[in-house]
Amino acid sequence: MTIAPRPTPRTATVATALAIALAALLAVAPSGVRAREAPKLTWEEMVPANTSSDPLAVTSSAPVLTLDGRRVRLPGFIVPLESDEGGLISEFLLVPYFGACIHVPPPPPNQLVYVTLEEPFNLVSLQQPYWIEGTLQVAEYSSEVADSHYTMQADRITKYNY
Amino acid sequence: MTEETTQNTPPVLAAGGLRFAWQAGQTLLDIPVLDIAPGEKVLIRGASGSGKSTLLNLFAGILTPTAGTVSLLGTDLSALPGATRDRFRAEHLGIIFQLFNLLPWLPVLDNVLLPCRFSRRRLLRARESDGSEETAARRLLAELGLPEAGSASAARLSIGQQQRVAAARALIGNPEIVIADEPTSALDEDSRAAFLALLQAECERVDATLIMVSHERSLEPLFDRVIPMRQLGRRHLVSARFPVARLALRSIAARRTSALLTCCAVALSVLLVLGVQEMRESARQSFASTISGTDLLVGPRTSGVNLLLYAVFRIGQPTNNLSRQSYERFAAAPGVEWSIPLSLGDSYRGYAVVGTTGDYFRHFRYGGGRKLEFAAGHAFGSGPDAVLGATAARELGHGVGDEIVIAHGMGATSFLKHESHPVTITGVLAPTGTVADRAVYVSLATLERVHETATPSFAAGPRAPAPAGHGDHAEAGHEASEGIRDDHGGDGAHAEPGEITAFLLGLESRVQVLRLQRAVNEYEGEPLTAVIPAVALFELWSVIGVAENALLAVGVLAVLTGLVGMLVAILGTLNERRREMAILRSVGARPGQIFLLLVAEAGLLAAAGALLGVVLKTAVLGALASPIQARTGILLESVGPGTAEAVVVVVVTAAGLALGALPAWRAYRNSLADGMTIRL
Repeated sequence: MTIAPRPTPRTATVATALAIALAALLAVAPSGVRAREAPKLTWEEMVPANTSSDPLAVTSSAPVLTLDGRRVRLPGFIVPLESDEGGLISEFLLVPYFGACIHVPPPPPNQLVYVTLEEPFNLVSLQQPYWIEGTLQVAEYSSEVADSHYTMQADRITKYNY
Repeated sequence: MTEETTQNTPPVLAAGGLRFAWQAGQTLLDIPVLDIAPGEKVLIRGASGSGKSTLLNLFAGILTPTAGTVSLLGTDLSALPGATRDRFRAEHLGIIFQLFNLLPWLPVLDNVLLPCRFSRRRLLRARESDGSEETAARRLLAELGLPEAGSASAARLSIGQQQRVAAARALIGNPEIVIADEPTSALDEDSRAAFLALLQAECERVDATLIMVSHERSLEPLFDRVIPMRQLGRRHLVSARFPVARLALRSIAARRTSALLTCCAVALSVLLVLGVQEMRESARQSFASTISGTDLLVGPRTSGVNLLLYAVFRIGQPTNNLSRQSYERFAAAPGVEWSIPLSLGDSYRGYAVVGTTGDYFRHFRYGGGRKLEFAAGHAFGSGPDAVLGATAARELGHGVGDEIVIAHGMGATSFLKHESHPVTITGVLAPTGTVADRAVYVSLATLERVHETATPSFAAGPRAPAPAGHGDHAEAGHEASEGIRDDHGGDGAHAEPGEITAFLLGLESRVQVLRLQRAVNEYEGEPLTAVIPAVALFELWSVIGVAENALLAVGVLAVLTGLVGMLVAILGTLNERRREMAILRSVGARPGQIFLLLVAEAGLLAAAGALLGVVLKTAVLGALASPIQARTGILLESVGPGTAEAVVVVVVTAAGLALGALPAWRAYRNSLADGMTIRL
């Protein structure tokens, strides 16, 4: 994959640090006008109806094919896969629960979304959940090793507030 | 000695019903009527404290009367807006003080020329009479007995000479009125008479009206008219384009030592901020671009960050190895597209020796998915070959075809070398700007031969000497992995190390990564750690970020300290500069311009400091770049000043301007209170 080099965030960092400290400028950027949001999607909806809705008890790992092409908003935690030269995240896995890597078995393929970003973003913390918005797609694999799974080209990422 | 002078021409100065009180009810001056005719030489005589200076301030329009009017040349000053009044003063009045008439940081000639800088009319009149304002100034200086003084520093003149320069300044551009406030009190008897004679002669020459105040009775005979202050005890007095930037520069230049120190303080703090910022960006960029496209990094059981640091960035030492069997197992796991084994721990003249396979050159990606390219030659084959990173090749002066001898151990020097097994360089990589440039790559088999010949009892470093029977593992490995066999041509006779340091895995589908990571971490054959490089990198940032932010905060505080130091320096000089402000006021500067002058000084100092800081940063990081790269592998890509530098300069300058408002405000207040009065 190729990721276009982006300007580093240092300009903004220095400017902000100095501005805050020296001029006591509070850059209170209101979250502003929100474009119309895509409909929310829950992780349970991503499991076919005939299986249990408890993600830990999921047995079937098939994605819900009807979700293909749907524009959705989905909350989750981010497992970075690729960062650009400035350390911004450009590819990641979206998972429904933090610590998907260690304490519990990894989520089945239908509880994962492989997300790529046009515009790499600055991940604040692995513990911080985000709303990811974009068009969900089902990548069908017929190979014996790779299962069908969800992918998304995300165009909007916002912090999830509890 | 009479107040009634009969003149037919309209008066130059007319006061009517003039009253002035500093405080309500305490009238200092009460002047029912006072006319001064053109060309008159008037002495207003009185003791100190009788209100003479106040009167002159009223005449010059610096003070506004409490009641009544002052008209100069038919213009009612109190009816004019402030700016017009200031311009009027600059155009029609020449003013001489008792002392300290000159700006010590301007040469004499520039002091004389000041009115021409503030008043276009004076400038034109000077040109009209003498051809150019400089000629006019030199002529006046010559006539006043200072033919050579033009380029001298005003501060070096005697008091008598300074007063004559002040007279020249008052007279340049032929103002209608010259006002002199005790101009002779600092002179001895002889010089006093001589000075007055010169002043009067010059006034006569240009038909200027001379209004002088003094307490000295002995001067009375020299004037057309004497008005005792007593009589005015019920009566009378007081400007243009202000060359703020020029004056601010000259003023700073005059205080260059303190200005330089202030600049340095700001510059060093800016250096600190920019240096920290640049280091952190470069480090981040360097780390972030070192590895890309790798799904899993697997090593012996340790923390992910630690594994990433030693296996990928080669910072620190591996503490343990993992077995070839484990590697073979996961390299052949379903869904694994490619694998790269890494065997670290040895060095060649300070450059890390990396034992790997040809897959390294095929599959390793850095900097957002870029592939390794060969600048010369090709990958190593099955023989005793090596590939050099760009920096290693350049610094060591090696090229394709050269033979080198690899040492055992990680240090810059190792004395356990075995001349019997030289390796031949088959290729040199193109520069990547990452740690990959600083390595020597050999096949696992070649590395094994190096170890076979190392004397076991001296074998240093974390790697255990290869166990005697490990060749079996290698054989088994070849069976298990097609990829490895390709790289070594299936030459099972060569012993390969029984252990490696770490390996990289690329998957067919990135969605598989969590599942495979889980499988590695739960592997029963051996305690292993698998990390997603991007996750480990992110964790590394979180750790480093705290220290980085602390450093940056220190830098920002240092900038603040530097600026506050500048503020202190400016405030400290403010009192001694009150008379400068009075002089500037007398030649037509407005209080607002005094304010601007000080703000401009602060801004200039801050901007100069910030610019110096940028220059220092470029120089310091330029000088440190290569030692830092040699020690850490971090490439400081100093591409010259960029947006960050511009932002810092702008912000620091703006902060300087903002802070400059404080002394400027005080100077403004002083200048409103002092007017043209010189406070000692």
